[in-house]
Amino acid sequence: MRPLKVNFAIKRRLPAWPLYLLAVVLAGAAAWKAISLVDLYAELRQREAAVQSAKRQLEQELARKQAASAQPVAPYMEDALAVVRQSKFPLDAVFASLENTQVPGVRLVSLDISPPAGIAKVELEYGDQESLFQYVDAINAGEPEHRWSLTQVRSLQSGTGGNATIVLTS
Amino acid sequence: MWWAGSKPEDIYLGTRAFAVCRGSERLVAQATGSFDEGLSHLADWCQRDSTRRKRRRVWLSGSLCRPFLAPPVDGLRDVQERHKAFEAMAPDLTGLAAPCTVWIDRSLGVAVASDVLSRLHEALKQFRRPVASIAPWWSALLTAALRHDKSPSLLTVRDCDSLTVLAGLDKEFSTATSVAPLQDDAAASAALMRLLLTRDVEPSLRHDARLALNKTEGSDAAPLGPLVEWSR
Repeated sequence: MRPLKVNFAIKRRLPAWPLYLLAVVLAGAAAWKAISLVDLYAELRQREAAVQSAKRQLEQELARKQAASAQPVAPYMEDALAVVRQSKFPLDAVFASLENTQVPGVRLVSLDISPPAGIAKVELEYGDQESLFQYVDAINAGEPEHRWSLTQVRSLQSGTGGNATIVLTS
Repeated sequence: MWWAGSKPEDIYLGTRAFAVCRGSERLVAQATGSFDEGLSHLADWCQRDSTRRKRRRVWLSGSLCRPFLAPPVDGLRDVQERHKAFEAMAPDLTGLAAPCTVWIDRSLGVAVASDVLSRLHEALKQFRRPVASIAPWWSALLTAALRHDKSPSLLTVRDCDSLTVLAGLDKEFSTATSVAPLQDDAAASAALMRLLLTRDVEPSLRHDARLALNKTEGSDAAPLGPLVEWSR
């Protein structure tokens, strides 16, 4: 035989009030947490708004500076720039080169100097092409690089001479 | 050392007796004429005793709470179906009025009439704290007998209105029945003789327990210990 643990008693049920109390406490904690989260979210929104505001101010400042830099140059500034460019153009060197270069059969017809553009255009008249090439070599002699370049050649009908244009770019 | 209220309070309820003991102390032990009278005594006790006693156990007589061995039933799919089968068999196997509420341990069932149980539950609601257990008194004596050095192969429990006979070897039960109602000791002896003759019971290690309402002293080795007479 074996022991028999017979029991017909109604099983004890835990009283419900601790569960209700626990539910109320949990609900309170959840509500408090929700309020905290709402506050945190509001603070986050404020900070985000502040960042956006600062960003807008920065963009406006940048746009203002860009607009200021894009304004047209005043007329007096153009004159001043022209003076500066003219002062930088080597007029003396150009004249010296032209005076010192003498090749038989080549004659200087006209000189057009434009300091603002940094260009000196010389029109030549030549008797034969060999003389023309000697003139171009001679005028570039002593320069570190060929500053004068032959841009245009117009031969005469006879085929022995013509007009040519050489250009110096500073 | 016992703390106040730590001793279990044992209440016995039968169709012929009502008793209350606290440990080895006998508080109430009186004969009654019926279950209803015992229940009214119990209700009075509930109203008188307002303590929040932690362990209060109710023990039912063998006439109210009877054991039975159910034959094997095939085709039962789960515990619920097995329980329903035991409940259906209990009135025929125990003689209790249907419907019955049963407790099951393998093939052994313990039945109590559902009407009796519900009336008992109703009466016990007057206690401020629910009772720890409601069980047949003979099951407590079985536990006490099994704690003895020589565990019995046969246990007879004679209480106020019944004779309960439990027999078996090892952990199994070969006989589990309550004979009730019994008018007197002669009827109980005759019933026991018939059981021993008709069933294959090995009486070599036999323990007999008897409820004695007029007894005043005894051990608290078993519930209602002061009222138990053992013969081994």
